[in-house]
Amino acid sequence: MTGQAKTEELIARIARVYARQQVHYTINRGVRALDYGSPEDYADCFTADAVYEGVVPDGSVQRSRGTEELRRFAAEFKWPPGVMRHWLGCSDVEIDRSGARVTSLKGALGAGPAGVVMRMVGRNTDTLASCPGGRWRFASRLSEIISRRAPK
Amino acid sequence: MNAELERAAAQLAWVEAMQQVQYTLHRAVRALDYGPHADWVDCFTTDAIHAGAADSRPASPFLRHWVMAPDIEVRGDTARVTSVMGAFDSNAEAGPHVSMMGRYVDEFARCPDGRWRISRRETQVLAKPP
Repeated sequence: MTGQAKTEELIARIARVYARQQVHYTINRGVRALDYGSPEDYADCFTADAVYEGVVPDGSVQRSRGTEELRRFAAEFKWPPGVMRHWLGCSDVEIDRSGARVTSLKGALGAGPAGVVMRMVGRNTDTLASCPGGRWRFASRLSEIISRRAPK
Repeated sequence: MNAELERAAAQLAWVEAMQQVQYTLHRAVRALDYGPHADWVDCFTTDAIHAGAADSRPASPFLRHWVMAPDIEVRGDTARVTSVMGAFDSNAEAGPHVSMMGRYVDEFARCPDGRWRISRRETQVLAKPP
């Protein structure tokens, strides 16, 4: 491989590493922005025409579409009784030319009589798009609750 | 290639290895809970060894596995990784709760396609319900 070809190969590898890290950055930024603000930061994790769908165990769906609806969703977000903070992990990130697809385990912690308790466990299924400037943003998010603890 | 570029390439290879090992850890968890089974198998080398007792309890529809805090030591084309692991479950009495926790002690190998796969996994369960 020539020096030029080697340099081009290195540049391509850096781009792949950078893309993967940007996806993780957005995933974690979304959690922080929902729990601690600001609504603008939360909406900025999504593309301008992104679609968010939140599904709860009774089957009801909450939908938000586009920057303004997502900003309002974050601004008006109210914790269910007893819930304190979200967490998210085990993000399985697949990236190709069309974008990124991510599934993550998520949950919420809260206070109980005996200490900190798990209030909810669920899953996020996301698609992300590469945006001008290098940021990756959610183009769609399906948020599902798998199990939750009823407030007492 | 000059020495600086060689060093940059080596640093990049280390970052790639760290990312790819975590990718495989998370992919295995997702595939274990949601399938397809072939994706889980693909997280292991063809001659991988999996040690540790399997959980013979019937799977709960609320059971979800997790892995976190991987300590990754990359040595060339192999890596030794220890991670905290566990599972969440749920029932009417307790609601969502941690139903099991333990540790994975893994050996990884970099494969010809560039993926890092588990060549040996030892599952150590530290605590689970009776």
